[in-house]
Amino acid sequence: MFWRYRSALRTLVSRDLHHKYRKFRIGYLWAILEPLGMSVTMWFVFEVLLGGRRMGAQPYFLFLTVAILPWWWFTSGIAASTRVFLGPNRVMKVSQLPTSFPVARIMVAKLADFALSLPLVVAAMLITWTFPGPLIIFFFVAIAVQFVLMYGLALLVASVAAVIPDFARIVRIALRAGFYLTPVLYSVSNIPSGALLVSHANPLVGILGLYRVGWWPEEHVTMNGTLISAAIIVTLVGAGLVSFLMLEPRILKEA
Amino acid sequence: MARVHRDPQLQVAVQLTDVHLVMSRISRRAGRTARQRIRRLAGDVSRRREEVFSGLSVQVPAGSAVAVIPAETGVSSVEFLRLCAGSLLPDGGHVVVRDPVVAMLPKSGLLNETLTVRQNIYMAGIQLGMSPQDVASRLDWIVQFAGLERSLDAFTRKCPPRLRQRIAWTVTMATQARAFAIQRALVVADEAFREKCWDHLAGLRLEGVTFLVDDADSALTRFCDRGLLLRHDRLEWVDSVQHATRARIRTEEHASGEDEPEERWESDDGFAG
Repeated sequence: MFWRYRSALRTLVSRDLHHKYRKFRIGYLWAILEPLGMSVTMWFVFEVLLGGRRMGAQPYFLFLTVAILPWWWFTSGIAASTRVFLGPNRVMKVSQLPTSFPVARIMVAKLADFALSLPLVVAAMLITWTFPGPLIIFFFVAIAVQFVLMYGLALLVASVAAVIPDFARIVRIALRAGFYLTPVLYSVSNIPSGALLVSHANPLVGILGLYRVGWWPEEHVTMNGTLISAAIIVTLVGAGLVSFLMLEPRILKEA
Repeated sequence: MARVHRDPQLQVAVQLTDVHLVMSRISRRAGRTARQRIRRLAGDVSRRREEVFSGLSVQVPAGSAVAVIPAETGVSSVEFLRLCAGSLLPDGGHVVVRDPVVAMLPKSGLLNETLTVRQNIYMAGIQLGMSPQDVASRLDWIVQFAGLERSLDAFTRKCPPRLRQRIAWTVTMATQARAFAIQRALVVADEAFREKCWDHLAGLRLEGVTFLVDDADSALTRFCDRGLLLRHDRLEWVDSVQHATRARIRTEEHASGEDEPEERWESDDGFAG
């Protein structure tokens, strides 16, 4: 859909990233340091202070880091999408780019942010001296699936928030709750067996499993769970596309 | 996800069929009680839905220069121009264009004050549908036409307003579009530059470029060959642009007689009062 505008997208995303990091003395290193700070804090609290709880697989620092980066990408991308069409956007009155272009621009910028933070996983592997097996290929599958899910969700969130501004606040609460309802801090095996199937209604459960399965094959999601997650992802992406198409005239009127 | 349907085989430049459009009209809350004043201070507004167009159908011939003039109170040419440019979608009916229509509206937010002139040229060009390579290839023409040789790497916030108008106007022209929807944008900068713009537009007209113009400037009459009077439910072609501008004057007098200083059109950037 955006192939025609790929050079415009590349230029604008490069400009966004440059603008975001140029004001800091250590520039792009903040893409790593922010999630690193979160990983170290979580590791310190749950592994050192509350040691023995064994919330996730070992080494816990790597286990946390592998999930925190995608979670950081997800939450920052969805939170940013709530603001895309809020308030007057005068340039949309003359822009020849598709209305959904700003959403794609944010999603690609956040993907680039995520890619910039990936050296943190390599550093965690070296620190803990733990290396992945051949299932690491699913790490890249997870990135593709998460990007598609995020684009669909961002279209849904951005279009609804443009019409009902209160929705942006609801999304923020949902993201906070999502952090605890998603196995970022803990392993899928910690979810009670009775709730396991229901937990797959949260598509990030399956996606985080794909990220981790290269290091911890036991983190894989069952076939039923995968099917449920896939159905939810397709539904959410479809809902995003439909809601955006339905609300696009109103978004343009509000611009 | 194109916003307007494009049909390269279309015999006319723009075709509107049975277009319906409803816009929200924003009014500041009135009243003098303490509660009403607090609500007004908090920026509380009331919204009223108003039908701008109902069942509008028109075909704009390719290569024509049309003066778009509102002939009834409550009808705004901005909505018509935005419908043609695809930056507004109708609630009903269809808009089909042969070539992309590039809109040029005042206060369009094309320029970002925190960027340099060069960066703004690229950003505005991309927003108007050019690729970065297109902008690079036309940069010299833009710089030369707008006279930006000495301010190309200056921050836009340090440029005088007339220079910003020049940039926006020149980048829009650099898109080399086959159709333009222009509102009040020809009131640009200084007299010499305006004359240069008119000469450029005249050249484009000879090449068969279509223009939809809403401009109170008297030069409108010398540039356009037909007038299009906009009413809520119909359009009226007039061959004499002078006649059309007289209709605008009557409408504006009528509107000023109604005295609604508190109200503004939501989509007008606040300038169409």
